[in-house]
Amino acid sequence: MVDDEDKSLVCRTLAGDRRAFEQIVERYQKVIFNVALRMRNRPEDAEDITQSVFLKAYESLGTYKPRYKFFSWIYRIAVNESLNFVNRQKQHEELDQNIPDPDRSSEQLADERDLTRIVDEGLMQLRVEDRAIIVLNHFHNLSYNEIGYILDIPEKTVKSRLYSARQVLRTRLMKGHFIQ
Amino acid sequence: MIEERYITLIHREVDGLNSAEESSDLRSYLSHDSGASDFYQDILKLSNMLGAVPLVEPPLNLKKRILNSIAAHQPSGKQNLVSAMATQLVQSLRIHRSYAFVFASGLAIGIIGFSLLDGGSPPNQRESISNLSGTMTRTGPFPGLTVCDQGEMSAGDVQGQVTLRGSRDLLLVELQVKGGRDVDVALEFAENDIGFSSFSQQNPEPDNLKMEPNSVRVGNAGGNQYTLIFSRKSQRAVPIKVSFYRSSKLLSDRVFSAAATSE
Repeated sequence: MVDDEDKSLVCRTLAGDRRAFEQIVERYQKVIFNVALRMRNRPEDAEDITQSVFLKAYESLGTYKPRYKFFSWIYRIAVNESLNFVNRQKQHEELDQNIPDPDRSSEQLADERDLTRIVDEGLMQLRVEDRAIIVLNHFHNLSYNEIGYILDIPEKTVKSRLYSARQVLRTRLMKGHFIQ
Repeated sequence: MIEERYITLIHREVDGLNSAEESSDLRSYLSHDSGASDFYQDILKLSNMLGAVPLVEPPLNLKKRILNSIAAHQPSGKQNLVSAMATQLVQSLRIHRSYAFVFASGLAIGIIGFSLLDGGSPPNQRESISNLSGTMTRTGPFPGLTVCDQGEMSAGDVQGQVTLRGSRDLLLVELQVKGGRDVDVALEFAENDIGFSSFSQQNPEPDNLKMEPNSVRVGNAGGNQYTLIFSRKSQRAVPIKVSFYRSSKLLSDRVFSAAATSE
């Protein structure tokens, strides 16, 4: 049903109705912003990425194939934009200030008592490709199959990367005594 | 050392993907292997922890920022229109996709044909009264839909030609408006009868469409041609009232009807 509505909005946008695209933005800005935020962990960068995602989506709406779900298509753009952004930033940053020192004491982290921050810090220690899988699976409840489409990898690869990413994250969070 | 097969089963269990047999097998294994049981508990806690992180609300100005950024751009491709229309038709008519593509191609060609045939005035330019004369009857580009009703509307310097076409599942309103651009056109209908599906216009004009459950309103409608597609919710006769307004003042209205079809 939601997908039918999405496709109708795409159709109307292509026919020149910009209000239809405004509705697409309203529907998806929150989830796209959150994908970008978990991938980058900087709100101002997440805003830039989200803006860029919708601009790309608008410009390339014609390449959208209605046999796929629209949300998968726009997630795909979001993940690619996020990966590109993170990789571009890596070239400019010797040390990302948001990446925590792995040797930070558990007391320091425990004081923060902030679930989101703890999780985000754990995520930032993952490889960016693995981070994407965790974000899509755990924060957006996407299936292995949907993640495979979005990341353009086989479902089997999604599983193996998801499982190993969880194990890395488990180890990191255990080190901080957040999983005991 | 946890067996590889059980590591997979642990992850699948956390994701809720194991069958009853697999779950039972895993439970039996975990009851005999404390290391595996700890690992399972950790992955479960991790999953719950990640699932408890709330989605963050984006900043209030983000939507405006996005819309401003696309203001100077266009969505790509005429082929898209065909594809998008075909999707619409597949959904509305429940016909095979290949037929929908053929039909949608005709629809798109028709719309483009309209624009080529018309040679009309550019947007934002008021036409003189002398240019408003002449026939407004056109051969429809929608052979798949039968004409249910059609007629002309006139109000001073504004004239309109309305053609209502339909099938069992679809209604299509072709609307041509000649004259001043400061005229608005409203289509009113019963929301139990039809639902608005899509809209196209010969000369794209941003933000000129307003939709309600029982009406569609096209602003600055003069000197332009529109195609509005509705999906039929019932097989009853469908009246659509078309009204011309200027500054909220009614200039002219007329009811066009599609006859009932057999259930």
